[in-house]
Amino acid sequence: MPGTGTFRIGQIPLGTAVEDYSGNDIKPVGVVWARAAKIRFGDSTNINQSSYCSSFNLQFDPTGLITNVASSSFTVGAEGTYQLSFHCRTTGGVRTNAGFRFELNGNVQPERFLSNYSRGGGAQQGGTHNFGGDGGTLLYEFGSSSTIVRILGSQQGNSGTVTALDGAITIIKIR
Amino acid sequence: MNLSELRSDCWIIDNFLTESEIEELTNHIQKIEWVMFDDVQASNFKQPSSKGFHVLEEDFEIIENKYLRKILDLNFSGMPKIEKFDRVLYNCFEKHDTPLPHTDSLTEGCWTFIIYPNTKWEPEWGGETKVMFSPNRMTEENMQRMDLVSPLPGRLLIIPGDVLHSGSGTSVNTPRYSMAYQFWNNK
Repeated sequence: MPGTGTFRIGQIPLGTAVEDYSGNDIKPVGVVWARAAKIRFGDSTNINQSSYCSSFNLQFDPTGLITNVASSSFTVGAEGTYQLSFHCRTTGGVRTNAGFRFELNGNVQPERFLSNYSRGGGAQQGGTHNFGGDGGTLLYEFGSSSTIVRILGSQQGNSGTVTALDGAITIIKIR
Repeated sequence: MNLSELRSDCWIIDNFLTESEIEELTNHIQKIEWVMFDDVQASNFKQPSSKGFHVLEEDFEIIENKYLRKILDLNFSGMPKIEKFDRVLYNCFEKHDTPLPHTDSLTEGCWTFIIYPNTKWEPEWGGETKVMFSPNRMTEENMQRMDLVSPLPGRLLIIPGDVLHSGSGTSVNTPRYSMAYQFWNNK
């Protein structure tokens, strides 16, 4: 048979079988990816810059990506690069917070467009939150084999709050 | 043009571009001043970047508008109802590039149309677009699916913008070009 050497195949999705022509499983053991989970949250709690969204519950996790779900957090059980997508229905009062931030193992992440940070105007200054929802998508590197994820309010709104009615987080391991 | 259904909401149109259109786009792409581009904002790390260049809708020039019109003139059963696009993203992937999977938008009703203006391409040269699943429609079955679409000359790939996807590096020294019209449906 011509051609010896290295056969490179890249990453194999978790659910993709690799078989020989006799149907035997020859899938290599290694890194799996495209593992995904969906977590719902929200109970109309008022969230400010030092309080967390709560009432987390696991909706979808066929590969066991999430190792624990608590009232206001969930734990991811593998290091790697993740896409975290977040969306939440909100209401605001006279003075509301500007949005939300992720916290990973106690480290608060930059605001970016997850919150109203880039929208300017009253919301950024702590004024009325004029949007019925908030959210965004960011990539994060989880350097630990166990990462606790929480969502807290933005610091852009000073002492204001935003009411987190309900929402969802989807998390996908992309590397 | 040859239309084929990749999935119920993804299509491939081969020979979308004529040879003269490929040549026109190739000449246009040669003049692009590439920047090192990230696909999605990364918050706490530096992701691998590759050559890209984007043009927002308000800055579309004659060539972006020409192929925008050609897309909007498509007429087949299932063709997404789109009146405008938010931007065109040009990508140039080269040997050893490792772009990350990403979504272009997470709003339902968003779409991405990717044109491959490569004058020649062999499947073994790599550079495929990997099409995965949408975080908005996660099921155990569709999470396990990944389609590889080779960037054949003149091909058009149509996917929902909320589907996780990525380009790929090449196995040869020939750069792989693509031109993605994105409709984010954010407004």
